[in-house]
Amino acid sequence: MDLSTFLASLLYGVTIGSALILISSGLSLTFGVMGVLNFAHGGLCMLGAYLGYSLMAWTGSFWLAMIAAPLIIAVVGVLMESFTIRPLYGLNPLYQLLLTVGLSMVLANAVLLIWGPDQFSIELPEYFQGYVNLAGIYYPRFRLFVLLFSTLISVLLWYGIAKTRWGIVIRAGIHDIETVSAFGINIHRVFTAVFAVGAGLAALAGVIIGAMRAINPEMDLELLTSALIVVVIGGLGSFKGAVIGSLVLGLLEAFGVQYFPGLAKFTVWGAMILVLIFRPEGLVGAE
Amino acid sequence: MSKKGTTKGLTRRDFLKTTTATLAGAAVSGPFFHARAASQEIRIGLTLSYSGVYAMVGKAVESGVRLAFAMSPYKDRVKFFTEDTQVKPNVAIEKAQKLFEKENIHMLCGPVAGHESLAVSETLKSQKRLMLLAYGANIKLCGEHCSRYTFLCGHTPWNQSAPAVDWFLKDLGQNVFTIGMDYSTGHEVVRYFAEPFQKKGGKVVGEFFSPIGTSEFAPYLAKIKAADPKPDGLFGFVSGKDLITFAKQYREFGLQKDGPPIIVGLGGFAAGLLPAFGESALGHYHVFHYSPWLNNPENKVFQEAFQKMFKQLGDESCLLGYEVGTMMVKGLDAVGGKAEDTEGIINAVEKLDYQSPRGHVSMDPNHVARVPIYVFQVQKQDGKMTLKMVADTGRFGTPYGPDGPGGACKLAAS
Repeated sequence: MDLSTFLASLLYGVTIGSALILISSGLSLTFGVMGVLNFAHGGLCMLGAYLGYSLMAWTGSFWLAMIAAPLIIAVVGVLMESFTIRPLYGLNPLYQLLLTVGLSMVLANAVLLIWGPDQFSIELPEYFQGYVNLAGIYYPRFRLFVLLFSTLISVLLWYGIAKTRWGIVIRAGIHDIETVSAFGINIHRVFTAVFAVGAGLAALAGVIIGAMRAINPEMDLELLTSALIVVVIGGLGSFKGAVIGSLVLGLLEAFGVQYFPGLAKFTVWGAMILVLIFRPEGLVGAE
Repeated sequence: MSKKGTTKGLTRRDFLKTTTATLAGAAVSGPFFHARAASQEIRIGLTLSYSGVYAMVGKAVESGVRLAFAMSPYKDRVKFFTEDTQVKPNVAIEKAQKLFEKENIHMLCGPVAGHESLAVSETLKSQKRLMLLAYGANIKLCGEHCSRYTFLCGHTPWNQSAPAVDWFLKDLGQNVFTIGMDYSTGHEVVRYFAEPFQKKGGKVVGEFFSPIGTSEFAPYLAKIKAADPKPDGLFGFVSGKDLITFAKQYREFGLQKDGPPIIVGLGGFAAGLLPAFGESALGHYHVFHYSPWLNNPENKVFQEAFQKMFKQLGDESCLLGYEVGTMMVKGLDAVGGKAEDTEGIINAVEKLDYQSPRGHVSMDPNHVARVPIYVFQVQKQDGKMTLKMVADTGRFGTPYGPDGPGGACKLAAS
């Protein structure tokens, strides 16, 4: 348990956490505003990853992939929301759940149909490769980028939700959707926009994950599971909760592997069970 | 049903019913009798994985089997019957039974996963039905559960790891860091390497077993960096997408350049997977019995024929199917093409000893193929990634004595 191993685990935990923030923020957003627990979220991440890979293969530009993939998936999100989810508002939430589960299967099979069962991986541009030496700890350049980037996205989202007019509408919507529409605000447009943003965030996370790990047709389930654990630990519907949940989960995984090898996965699930028992609204809870 | 005539002899209705039924039955079963009579047909069943992510493996193995028969004198007589086992033992058993009983296959190319193949082998043993396995080498099938009716034609977890010990000690060094996915095969591959390695004076300086599907290896990489003394190489079994992720992150953390090479047993850097690694695979090794770039006359013939028939490189999975097909063909040759002569075919396959695209292949008494085991390194040639053979460790089956990895095989008791 020496200091350098501890610091390394801390750093890696924060790194894992920063990737998780990107993955879970979209899910938290759509649930918080629309009450829709989007089980297709993992599928959207995966589609974003595959799309990012193809875009990079065609154009050779990583930045183009990172910008275009989320935009394309946001459009997919608009279509998904307008045609399939919207008719189910106000009905038993079970319908929405089943719908999104079905959508996730559609996405998973679409991926298999278009790209086949092969594995892929996004090759990073030169300047992202290699690592920096932070006080004796080797930190890959791209991870540093992910850390900074997700911080930026978090700040932007926080600012957007806390300070802008749209944000006020969204926060009000989390509390009382009927009153919001009573103010004459087109609630359907808000929902579609929020869903699109959630989908775009999912795709962005997918591209970044695709650059750090292998892209494969089973990654949607893994990503969805991580996002759900984060959101349960942090609190459904709260963006701050998603950030805290991600950091907690990341640190648990990093320290778990180092100090309780073999039990690493268990520490994560165990934490989720504890939160559900003692603080079911999540560490941060509904704001 | 007429009101009278319940016991009074044969009514007209009864006669018509019975005759119609008999004629209908004869018409339906006619083809079956016909098929049995036409024993010119050689019926080969394949219970592989055709769905989900492992669909490629099933297709690849099947293509190899088809090629072997297409190049044989039986190409016009052979008929293939394929079933998807979904990598589930109960489904595998059901499909195997179906193929033998309803489609009357003569022999089976068995399932790809070890737990499936053991289940099917146990079932077919008592029924005296023949199965050849391309993959699915469960270590118990090499020993305690060996069966006269099962042949392991590919490779086993033992012969993809233990043979590398001498090469590692000679070419890399005394210190190894073992890695593996946290399930039976991962632990087996590590154990079959680590035990002889330590007996010969080597030292295991650290280890990790990652859950299948791990996508974040940073904490494990930290362990590798912290190992003291520094390992001369990593050895073990991480495969598929986990290996791609691991190799990628290994490179990200600077270990590809400054750290020990990764050596994977069981062919982790297989040709079919190489494109997905990009640059991350360069310089690493794997232990395997075949690579599409092996330089021998039989491999040239195989690759040319395969690429002509299927328009793509014949990778390791295709080759395994081809070996199964080849052994089936050679078995048939020995019995004059009489596919019903299961016992005769078995006797012939037991004595097989020939040159294959892998090299010199023969069958051991425990029905496990004795194959050449090579160490390959991923190198770049003309801008493309290939596997270069850097060591030939000899020919290995799998030990089948009482202290063999799978226990003692009764077939070999003599």
